[in-house]
Amino acid sequence: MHRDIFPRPENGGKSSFLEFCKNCAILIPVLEGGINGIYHKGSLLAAVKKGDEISWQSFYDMYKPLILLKGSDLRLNQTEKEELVQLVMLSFFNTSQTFCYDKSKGRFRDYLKRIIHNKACDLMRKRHDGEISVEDIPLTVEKMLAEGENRWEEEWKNHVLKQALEDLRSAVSPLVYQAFSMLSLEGMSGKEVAATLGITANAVYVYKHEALNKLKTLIAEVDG
Amino acid sequence: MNFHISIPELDSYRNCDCSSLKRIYCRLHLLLCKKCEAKLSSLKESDEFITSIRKNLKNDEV
Repeated sequence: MHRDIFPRPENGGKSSFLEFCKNCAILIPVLEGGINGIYHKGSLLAAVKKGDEISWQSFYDMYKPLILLKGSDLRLNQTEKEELVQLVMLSFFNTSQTFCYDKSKGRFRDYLKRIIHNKACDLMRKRHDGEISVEDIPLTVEKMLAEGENRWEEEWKNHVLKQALEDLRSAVSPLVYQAFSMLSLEGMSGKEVAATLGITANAVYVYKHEALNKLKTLIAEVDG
Repeated sequence: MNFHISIPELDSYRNCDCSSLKRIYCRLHLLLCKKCEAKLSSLKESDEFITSIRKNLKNDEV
């Protein structure tokens, strides 16, 4: 695994699409948005699962909507939801700009949910509005989380799918991805795709199933 | 039955994206081959999967 990656000096030390891996002495592609090219090409979730370092900004962009969603399930107000995002971010990043996920903590989705749960309890304790007694807060949060469980699962599935689709672009050849995308995602007919890409209709379907099988594997890998 | 129809071929057959000759061949083969008939049915799962992807992408656009 490429763990020590540095920006190319000719790029003025800025993050670029290709970065230099110190261990392998090769240039490797990295995800856009990573701080100084810390993690590799592929989805953020895949990087989390691999235990690669994740930048604060990437994590924020990726998980803020999910945390806000959970905040809504817990009936937090807008200010509290924003605070919940900050508290969750702080618990992941503490003093560093990056974090590595320790796989011994179990599934990342459960770990993230647990952190959100704990931080939401902290927030509700801070209210002091007497609506709910402090002792009842974990129970109340648990009940509300259970009610929103389906929505969380749905959102998580969407999140995983988005990440896997991102990974698919680099996992198959551009032609295979294009054929799959045009046929399955854009809804073009096999003949139209074949004419556009200059391949046979049969090849279009071969590529579609190659991409589909790869996508299913990627989803299984990413979601673990 | 020695030869079977591949999944991509079955997919192009059901979407009318193959030649007339291939279509006739597939139709005859499917009358006799339970294995390929099952494969054809399994394509419905792929359709559902693709529908869910498209739905997901559409929701993102909104």
